[in-house]
Order: sequence, then C-alpha cells, then structure tokens
Amino acid sequence: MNSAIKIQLLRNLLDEISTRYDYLYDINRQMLEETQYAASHDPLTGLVNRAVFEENLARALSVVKRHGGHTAVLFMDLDNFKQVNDTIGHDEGDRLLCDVASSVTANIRKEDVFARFGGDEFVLLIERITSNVDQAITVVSDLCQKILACAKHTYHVSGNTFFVSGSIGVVLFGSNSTASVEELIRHADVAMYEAKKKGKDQVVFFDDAIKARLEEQIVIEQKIRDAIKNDTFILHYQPKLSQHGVIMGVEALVRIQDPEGDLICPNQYIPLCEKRNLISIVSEKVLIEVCKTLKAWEKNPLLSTMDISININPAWLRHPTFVEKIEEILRHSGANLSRLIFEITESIELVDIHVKIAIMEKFTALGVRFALDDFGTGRSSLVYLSQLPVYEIKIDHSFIVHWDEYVTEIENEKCHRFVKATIAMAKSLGLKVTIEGVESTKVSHALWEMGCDTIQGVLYASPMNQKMIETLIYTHNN
Amino acid sequence: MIARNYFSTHPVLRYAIEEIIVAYHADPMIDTHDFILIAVAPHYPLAQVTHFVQHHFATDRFLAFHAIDAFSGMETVSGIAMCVIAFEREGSIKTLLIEDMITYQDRAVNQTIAYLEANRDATHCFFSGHLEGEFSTFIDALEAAGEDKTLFSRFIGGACSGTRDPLTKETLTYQATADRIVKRGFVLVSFCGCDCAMSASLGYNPVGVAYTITGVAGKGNVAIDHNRSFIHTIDRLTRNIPDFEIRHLWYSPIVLLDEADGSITVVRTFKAIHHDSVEFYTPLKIGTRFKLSYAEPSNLLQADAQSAQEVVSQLPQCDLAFNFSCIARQYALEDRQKEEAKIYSKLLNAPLFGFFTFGEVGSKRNGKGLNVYNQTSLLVGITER
Repeated sequence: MNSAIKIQLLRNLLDEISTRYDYLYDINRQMLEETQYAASHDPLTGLVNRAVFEENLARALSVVKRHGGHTAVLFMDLDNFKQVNDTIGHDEGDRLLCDVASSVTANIRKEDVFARFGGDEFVLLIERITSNVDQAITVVSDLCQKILACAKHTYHVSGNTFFVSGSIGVVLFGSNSTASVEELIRHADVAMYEAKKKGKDQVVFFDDAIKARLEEQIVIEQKIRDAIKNDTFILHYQPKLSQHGVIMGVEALVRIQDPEGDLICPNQYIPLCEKRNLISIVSEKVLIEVCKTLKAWEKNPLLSTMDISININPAWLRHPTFVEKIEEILRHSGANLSRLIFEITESIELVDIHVKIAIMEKFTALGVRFALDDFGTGRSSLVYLSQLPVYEIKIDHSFIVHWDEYVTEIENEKCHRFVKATIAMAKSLGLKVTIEGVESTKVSHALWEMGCDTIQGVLYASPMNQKMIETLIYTHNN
Repeated sequence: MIARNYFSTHPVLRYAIEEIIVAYHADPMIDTHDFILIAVAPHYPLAQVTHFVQHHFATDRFLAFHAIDAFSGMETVSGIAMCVIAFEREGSIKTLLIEDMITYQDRAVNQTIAYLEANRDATHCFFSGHLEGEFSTFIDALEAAGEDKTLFSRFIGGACSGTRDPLTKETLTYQATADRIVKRGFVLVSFCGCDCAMSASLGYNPVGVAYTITGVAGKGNVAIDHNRSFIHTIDRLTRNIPDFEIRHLWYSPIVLLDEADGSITVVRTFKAIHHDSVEFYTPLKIGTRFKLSYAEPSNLLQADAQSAQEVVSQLPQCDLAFNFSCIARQYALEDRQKEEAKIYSKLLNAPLFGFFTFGEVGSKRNGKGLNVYNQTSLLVGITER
C-alpha cells in the first residue's frame, strides 16, 4: 500500500485512541514513528528510499539555484549481481547489498544522501561541491573511484570465479540547471547505462552527447507508440539466394515509417521496444502481416515456394503469453505454416532449454521451422545445435565483414576457418546454412566453395517492400 | 516420511507439469510417492492438472486445489506447487471428500463427525471451497455438532483462494481428485500414524477501547452498530485517506476478545462499510467484544517466528510443515510477503507447503473446538511415527 495512506490510517487510529486513552499516546506515537521509518527506509540496508531521496534532491536543486556551486547525483548499479543471486542464492545477494551500502556509507560525508532504489540500484546525492567545473568533476570522479572499490567483490563457486563491480552514471549540475528532479535521476540512470555499455566497472558523466542520444530516443519512442497506434509498421523483405541465383526465400524485416516518410531501422527501435515492454506488441503485428503475405502468396505458383523467415526476439519468447498468442495468430491466419521459419538467437538461456525445446516442438508440429540466427555471436553452445529442433543456422556477418579488407591476416584466417568448420559441422548435422551480410562476389565465391546453402546480403539485394520483392522473384526465378 | 516440494510458474500448464516431473525424477531424495498435494493457481485449468498428474505419476492418490499463491519450501509462487509425500514407517494418508457442505449441511456434518471419531489419532488438513464465506457456517455447525470438542484438536486448514470466473461469476476455489471436481465442498487429508504440533500466528496489536457487537445481519457477518459508536470510529479512521479502499483497513482489523481473560482469540477482516453497519468476511456473534488492532509487517513476521518456535518446542523433529496463511495477511505483509515461508522453513528445518487462504480453520487454543480465523497464519508440523 502507498505509505502515505498507511501513515494517514495510523494517524487516524492514533488520534482516535489518544482522545480516549492519553497514557497510550506514547506507545502509539512510537508505533507511528516506526511506521514513518518503514515508509522512508529500505528495510534491507537501512538506507533511505526513493521518496526521501527525491525530496532531498528537490531541496538540493533549489539550494544550488540560490547559492551556486555544484551538486551531483550518482546512480550506481552493480554489475553481475544477478549472477550472485542465481548461483549463490538470495541470502548472499542480500549480504552483498548490505555490505556495499555500509562500505559506501563509510566513505561519504554524513550530510550526503545515500539511497537504495530497489534491486541493486544505489543513488547518492552530493551537495556543496566547488563552483569550478573542472575541480567539481575531479572531486566527484575521485569519490566515484572510492565507491567503485566498495562495489568490487569476488566469488568462487564450483571452481569458477566471477566478479561483481559497479557502474556509475553521474549528473553534475549547477545554478543554471533547468532539469527537474525526475530528469536528473533519469539522466544519471542513462549515464550509468553508458558506463555498462562501455564495459562496466567505470564512471560516465552525463554530457551533451548522451543528452542528444536521450532526446533522439524519446523521439523514436514516440514514433514507435504512434506506429503501434496507427499501424504504420512496414514489412520489407530481403531475399536469400542459392549458388545458382535462385531466390529460395525471404527474411521479413520490420521498419517504422514516420510521417515525413523516413524509415526507422530495427537497430534504432528494437532495443527501445525491449526496454519499454513493447516488443510483444510489435512482434505480434509483424507475425500477422507475414501470415497475410504467406496466405496471399499461396495462390501464385512462383511465390508459394518461398520460405518467409521472421525474427523472434528473445524478450518476446520469454513473454508469458508467447505460446498462446502465437498459436492463436497462426491458427487464425489459415496460412501454409510449412513455409514459415522462426529465427531465434543464441541468447536464450540454457537453463530454460527444455522449456524452449517444448515450445519449439509445439510449433514444429504445426509445420513451422526454426533457424538459429546470428550464430557465433552468442554463446555458440553445441547444446543448442544438438538439442534444439533447428532446421537452419545463419552465420553472423561479423565473421565475413573483413574478408575483403585484410585488417590482419591472422584474424581473417581465423574467421575463414571458423566459417568453414561451422558449415562442415552444420552439414554433418543435416542443417541448412545461410550467411548474412554478404557484400562482395569475392566473399560469395569463397562461401559457395565452403558449401554454404544460401546467401543474404546487399550484394544481391537490400531489403525491399512487398511489391518489389514479388517483382524480383518473378524476374529472377522465371 | 519424506516430503519434497517442486514448483513451476511456466504459463503453459503442460510445460509447468513437465518441469515439475523433470525436477521430481532428478531428485535423489525421493523415488516413490504415497500422496501428492498440488496447489494450482486459478489461471490453470484444474481438470487438466488432474489429467497430467494421473498420466505422469500413474496415481489416483492426490489432491489438487486452487490457490492464488502457494508456499513451496522457501518460495512463494503463483503457479503449480506440488508436495510429494512418501511414508517410511507407520504413516499413511486417508481422505474424506464432501461434495456439498451447504445444501446438505446436516449430512455433511454427520459424515465428518463420524470420520473424525473413527480417525481420532490422525492430523486432519482441511481444504475447502470458499463459497462466498459460507464455508464458515459449515465449520460453526460442525463445531456445534461435535459433542466431544477434542475431536478437533488436530484439525487445521483453510478455504482455497481463487479468482472470479468471468463467465460463471463464480470464485474458483475448487478441489480436484482423480475422479471428481469438488465445487461446493471440501476434502480432508488425514495424516495417520503421525505426530503433529500446531500454532496460530496473529501479530496484530489491539488498540483503543473495546466494543461490543449488538446485532448481526446477512450471513452473520454484518455487525449492526445500534449506537453508532463504532461506525463513527470507522468514519474517523478512514478520513483523509486518499482513494480509500476497504483493503486499507486490513492493516487495522478487529480482534475478537476472549470472554474470560480478554485475550485475543481471532481476527476479523473488514469487507465493507455500510450506513449503520460494518461487514466482515466471517460471521460474528452478538455479545462478542472486540478492539481495533494494528500491525506492521515486522510485527506479523515476529509473530510468525514465535509461532514456528512454539511448533519446534513441541515437535523438535519435523518431516513436513503446512502453512495456511490468509490472503489479507499477505497484503499487510507488503513486500515482505516472501519472508513468512523463509522464517518457517528455516526454523522448522522442514519442507514447507501451503497456500494463501480465503479464511483459515484450526482448533482453539485449548484444543477444544474449532475457530475460523482471518488474517492469521496457521502452522502445523508433522512427523511420521
């Protein structure tokens, strides 16, 4: 329950009692204080909670505007904390959080406000930093290094060693700040994610470049929501060709078209969709459209032999209604599902593999086939190849991207060998092999020699709209 | 007795059961089963659960029942939670199934009394339908009919918890065995050849003056306040609470007081506030004295720990523990909900099974007679002789 409601309830209860029994007043006052403490503090670490932090930040914001100087908000998230909970247990995870809380507290001033927002997220407010920007950055950077040292923990489990560290995002602001409390916290949070992206265990200050990216994200997010609302997703199809130049199938790729007619590509909006839990909504819309295309193509002898692949995002696969929703869409589509290929990535968790197998077998029974996408970039576990009911593997383009450039010959040689060995292994397991991102004939010749089944890339065709791909298939396969 | 807990929260029933089967077969601690208890979250089809259990475990000796959340060891799960029981010495399980405890209440009461008399030595776990609170009228009738009140000294359990079926408008609190689904009755699962220890954990601190119930209406659960003193108190209690909901009063339920010594007997949960009356989830009796109360999550967990210690002091070695814990209590526990199962598991050092109830039933503190509890956690430890 909202703590404000509970405090009001207890106040009322206390007033009610105190009018009748004065001697009970002290006992119940203590009860109220305990409740107020519980409403403002994290029960695990004893640090203040988000509500108190935000109150203090609002006060600090007005102070810095009046008196000048600098104030900083530090947002820290522990790296690999989930691993502690999953491998050693939640008790150890709790111990780690308490340990970090107490050691950071020992390294900051009494007046600094240190809060836990939940999970492994800690936030620190530092006020009255010098008005000189460079000096302020130095002061905060030094403190961040101390905090990072507090976050460092090493665990040895079953012969394996893993490390816990911290990633810190900092927003430093002075009297000219126009950001609100919520924005300041969000900026520090965004900077923290930048620190994670840069390899964890480091500090990133929120700056203009991050701000620009954040603003771009906000624009894209709005476009995604508009596209969902107005159904303005556009499907593009990229062909997959055999050695003899025959189009064997296509991969459906979704684009968002904004009102200006510009296309937004998946690498811009998919991570945002995942972050904002929009991925299942978008993916369902795409699947419905793909099924419509399959159904339309059934009537045409040339098009009816085309396989259509669709990417299944890992976040969608983990969604609780994934199976039910997909089954419903496929059942209602009336399309020939034996032409449908679901592309899944290696990033699915191995611990869930038996569940994933069961899910895949369910769709396999309906005729749907599966391809392992971006092979070689994830865990590349042979467990996937040996256990998952996969029809095809798609080797990631990163293994062929430098074949023309000869960045270093040794690296190129390694990539050559990897691709060749992977194709040989897939063949021995009876799997089809597709290579993505082929951009030159030299590379394609090498791949055909290695025994690759199909190739996909701008060498042959970029993704195109439905009308264009249909024309291409007519002209190419006739 | 060996008791092992398994659970799955996979949204697809078949996969959830399969996950449990895999865990069961991989468990080196157990290789056989005499009885299986299965708590089933209401979003799964109960009939299908029985089908899968029969198929995979090749047994008819099981009871599945609806539970919004279940305790499985230290975990609190909304999914399928299964407790597989295998006896090693004298132990065995008997069951009594009553299909309709309301329409044919007398017959149901007589059958139950006869069963309890024939199995005096057993520990009876009661898994009942909620029936919009009517299960408690059956319990009252049962208690009244039992001439020898010690018959109920080893009786514990609760009403199953579920969500409202949008089609039938019925709250799904069913029990299912191999050959039938019980919608308006209950199932008693009796542990024979076993010792047990029970305890009730309340944790609510009485505050303020004592009130007396001067009239009741409805199914006995609407307290009429003739002089309006309590209604005025409730008015003052709820003032200035933004977007007030009745659930907000679950932090401050009423506690009924013992006539003899003024101690707390049971808690009653607020259901609705009317013009001149207050409605509770469970019937009340005219003349009963009560007080308002209050508890923080820490108070409730402290009471849980005391309760567990009480069980341990009576039964140091425990093979299996059950926790029947009220859903309103779980609400008041806020984000510390999961700690209850952890406290019990750690202190009893035994596999814990149980579920969130829509009302708990257990023997009175003196072991003579039955109480319907609210906002309480009833704990029982069982050991095979």
